[in-house]
Amino acid sequence: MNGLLCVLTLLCLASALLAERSGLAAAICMLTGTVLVLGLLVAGASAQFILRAALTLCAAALFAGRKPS
Amino acid sequence: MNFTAAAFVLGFPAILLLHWLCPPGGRWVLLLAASIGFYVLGSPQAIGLLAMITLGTYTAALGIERSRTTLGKRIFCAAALALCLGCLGWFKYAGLFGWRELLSQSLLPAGISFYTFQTLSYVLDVYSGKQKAERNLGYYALFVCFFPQLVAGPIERMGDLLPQLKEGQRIPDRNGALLLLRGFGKKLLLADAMAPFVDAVYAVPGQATGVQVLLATVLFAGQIYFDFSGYSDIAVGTAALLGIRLGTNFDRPYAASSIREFWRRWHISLTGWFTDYLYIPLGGSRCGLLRHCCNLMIVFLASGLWHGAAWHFALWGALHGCFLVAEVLWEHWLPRCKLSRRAAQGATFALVCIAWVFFRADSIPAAFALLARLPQGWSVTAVKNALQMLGGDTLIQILLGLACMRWLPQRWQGRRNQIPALFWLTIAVAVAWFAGLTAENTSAFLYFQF
Repeated sequence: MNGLLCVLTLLCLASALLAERSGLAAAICMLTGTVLVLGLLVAGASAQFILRAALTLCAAALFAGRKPS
Repeated sequence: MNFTAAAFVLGFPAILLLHWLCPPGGRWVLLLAASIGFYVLGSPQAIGLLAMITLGTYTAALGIERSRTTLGKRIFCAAALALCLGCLGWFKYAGLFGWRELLSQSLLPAGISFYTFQTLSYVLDVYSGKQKAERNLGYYALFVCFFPQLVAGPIERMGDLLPQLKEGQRIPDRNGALLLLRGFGKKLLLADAMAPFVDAVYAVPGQATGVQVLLATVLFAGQIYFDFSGYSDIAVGTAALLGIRLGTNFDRPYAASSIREFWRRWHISLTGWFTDYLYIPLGGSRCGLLRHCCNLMIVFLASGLWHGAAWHFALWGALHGCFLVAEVLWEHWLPRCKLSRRAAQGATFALVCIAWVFFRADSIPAAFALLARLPQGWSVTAVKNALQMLGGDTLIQILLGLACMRWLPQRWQGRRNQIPALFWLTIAVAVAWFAGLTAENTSAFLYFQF
């Protein structure tokens, strides 16, 4: 279970970073992320853990696509 | 309106749907009913006072307009001032002069400081001839109790808000959803994460180490900004989804390079109110240097007392007044002596943070006790202890939240990465909201107490 969640996390993070370049990556990011959250819930993760995971993915996606200042 | 309460989070989507399904001519009735409904849900005992102030100022404005003599206009204006300031004084400041036993704290009406100022600005604008009195009581009642901004602002002017409320044919601004998300993020992910450390340090001010005092001071500066600007973002976003544009209340205040600039960026609607209805009538800056300085002190003492019925709020206002007077004197006597922008920003932030200690502390002695601890207990162990007290998890959450808020765009730009980012931010906000709802100690917005 943990190994599967790790693979999903990596896939989700990688697709978040590629989301600006490809619509497919954005879709994969949301799909894997949804499965990841459900997996974390089944695995008994705390609300704080899920919150931080979501924030990490949000920051990664925003950072990858931010306008150069 | 407590935007993080289940009643709003679950009720607003229904109101939004009904609003856009409703014929344009009837939308204001729906908004008025929703505004009264939300207020009764949150503060049922205070609806009578809200109705009395609405009716009183509505009648006074009509009286001012219909009076043919200056004396008549003055009498109606004075009556409205007495009603608004009398209610504000009685309900908010009874405790300041030891009359607390006459008044139960539970009776403090939600949003009284905001709606009395909004109604006062209307009456004063009608008196000075800037505005015409509104004849339709329903429209006027909606202007007073429009739910996104009733309890904690922004304090709107009649000329800006009422024409939008009357106009049924509105266009929703979809960027309002982004503002809503940003506001909830600021409140639930940042302000609420900073609050426990600040509360713990301020609970025992005499026992904190210098590192803890410094960290708590900086975190409180962050907490109050993210809490109140988060509230304002939610208010402006909620109204934008209803097709109504409210004024901006914050514009990156901690980037200010002077206290004057800070007040042009912090709680903009309140600063504008005090400027238009107190500072300028007193003479503003178009008078002698001494009078100008006195005017600044009066305005900031009033602003301090507006924030709360306690002497530490008055001292906080007086401190800001002193900072501004010092700036005026500096510019007068040393016009060519200027700091670099970065140095000025750092100095401004430091002064604002020192003033926040008096704002946050429970009393003036507690604030001095906390500041006295600042030079004490500086060591590597103290830094480790302070970070341990904050918690590694909380620190990570704050840093991630700051990154998200920094990179989140103000407006929808159609960039591909925004869809997954907003999806994830929504999940984080939903989890934080649900965790807060199920926790025993949920924190209300800080400005609700004012």
